[in-house]
Amino acid sequence: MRYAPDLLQRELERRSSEPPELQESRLKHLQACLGGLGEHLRRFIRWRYAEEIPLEEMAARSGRSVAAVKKQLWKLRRALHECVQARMAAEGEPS
Amino acid sequence: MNSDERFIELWNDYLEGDLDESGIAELQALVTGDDRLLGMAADSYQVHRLLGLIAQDSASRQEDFVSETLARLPAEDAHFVDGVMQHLPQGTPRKRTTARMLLNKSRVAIAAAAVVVLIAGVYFLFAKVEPEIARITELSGSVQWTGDGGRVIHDIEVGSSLRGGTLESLSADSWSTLAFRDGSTITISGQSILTISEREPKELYLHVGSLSASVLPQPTTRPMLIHTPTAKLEVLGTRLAVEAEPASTILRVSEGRVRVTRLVDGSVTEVPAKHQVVASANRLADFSVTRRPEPVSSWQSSLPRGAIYGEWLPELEESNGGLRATPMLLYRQKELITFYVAALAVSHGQSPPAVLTSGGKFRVRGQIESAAEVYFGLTTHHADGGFAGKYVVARKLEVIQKTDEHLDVELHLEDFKPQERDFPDSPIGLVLVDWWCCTANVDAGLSVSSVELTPAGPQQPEPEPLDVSANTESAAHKEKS
Repeated sequence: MRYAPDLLQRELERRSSEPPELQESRLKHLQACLGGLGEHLRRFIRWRYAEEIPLEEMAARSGRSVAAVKKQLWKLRRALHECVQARMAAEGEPS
Repeated sequence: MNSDERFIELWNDYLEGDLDESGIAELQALVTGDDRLLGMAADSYQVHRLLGLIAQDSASRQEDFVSETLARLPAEDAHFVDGVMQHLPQGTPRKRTTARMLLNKSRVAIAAAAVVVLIAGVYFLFAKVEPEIARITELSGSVQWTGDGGRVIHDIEVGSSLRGGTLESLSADSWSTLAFRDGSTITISGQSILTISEREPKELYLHVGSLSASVLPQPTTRPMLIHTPTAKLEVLGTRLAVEAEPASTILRVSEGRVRVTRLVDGSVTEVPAKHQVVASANRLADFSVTRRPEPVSSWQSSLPRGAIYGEWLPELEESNGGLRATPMLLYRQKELITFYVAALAVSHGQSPPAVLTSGGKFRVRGQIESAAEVYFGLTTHHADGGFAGKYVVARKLEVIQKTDEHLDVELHLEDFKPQERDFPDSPIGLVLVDWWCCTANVDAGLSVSSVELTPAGPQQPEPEPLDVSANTESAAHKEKS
């Protein structure tokens, strides 16, 4: 049986071998991608990471279920990742 | 639910620290042998980490982060994932403890330095979009905000974003409404001081004055908290009105329920809709919940009881006692103005609410020493609670020396106009909370000895003036339209 931790570790190690410039670039692109989000989406990121608001409170504030908030966060992380990748690819940076 | 959806659910729970052991086992089973899901997990974790990093918004945290990262990396370099997975059964702590770098040991020092430089820039993005705790949606009169490390803003405006700080409504005719991000609203009016805590859940301190609130449903574990000098209110979703004084707090509930703790002895009670309670600083005082009294359409002042602002001048041989208008320095449209104000509480404390009815009128008696334009004003609430509006009427009053400067004025309710366009057109049907009068920039020696509200109706006998002759022409002070 192949252990999932090994697989995940391998993938993370591959990414951690990025040169520091790439890490720097990734952060810069993430900053730009965050700025490109609409306020109605950015608020989820702000609540979750800057304010550390519980999911229940986020759900109450947004009028959604907790499950819907989790799904929204997943989509946002995914969208931000794709945005960063696209921006890095556009600048010819390895991703 | 397909495997992707299930994976997303489990992975989110993992990132939130909500995954139990069975969930962890299920997550491991899902990603085993599925490189695509594994890649998605790594992508998500990477973004999650970077977002968490950005959120560490102070320089000290940035420095702490670098030193912490540097100190921790030898272990993390080779065993990062194992470390993570070992934490899973206990549930991954959500706050900050997931902040671990995915950097190779040999590159850490350079990368960490780069990250610190970047954070400063990235922080601005968060700072720029940092939400307010609440926002001013309406205000009138002199309202002042103290926040941002003690910075006082005299001319705070509608739309102003508020974080932690203190909102002060400075005069009898001033008021302000603020809205929280969930749509809950709070209105303070008259002379009131409200501190808004930066902390979550919503936490407010009504130091003194009147507050009405319309609170949307809150999470049961995180009620809105309203502190007063004598009570703590826990609000889960309701409409209510609170009056706070140093020695007592009265809470009136229109909808929902509010849990009240009397601070002096820790007694707790729940106040349902259409009921009220008084939480006194005196532990021997009654703390029972009572039904809100039925409204009345007439009211008579009983000065000096009920005086909110002004100086009480006791009765002398030749004159009744009176509440003398005293100066109050206020900003109006960025201009500093001295108002001479006398203000009375009407529907306060345990008294029944006085409803303004069509055809009703005020009779005001007192004294004035020099001619002046006098503004008479009303603060109103809706019959079922909550701030409704402020209304005002101006009268040019002349002094008739031979009548010993006595004042006797009738004010018809229909003549009062709303101070703001958003208020109901007329005060008719609303509950009178405060009554006040003032002059602007002129001390006319205005004092009020009594104010009486009478409803319309032929059965209402016209009261006799107390201090003037029956001759209308010689009546104390003649209104000049």
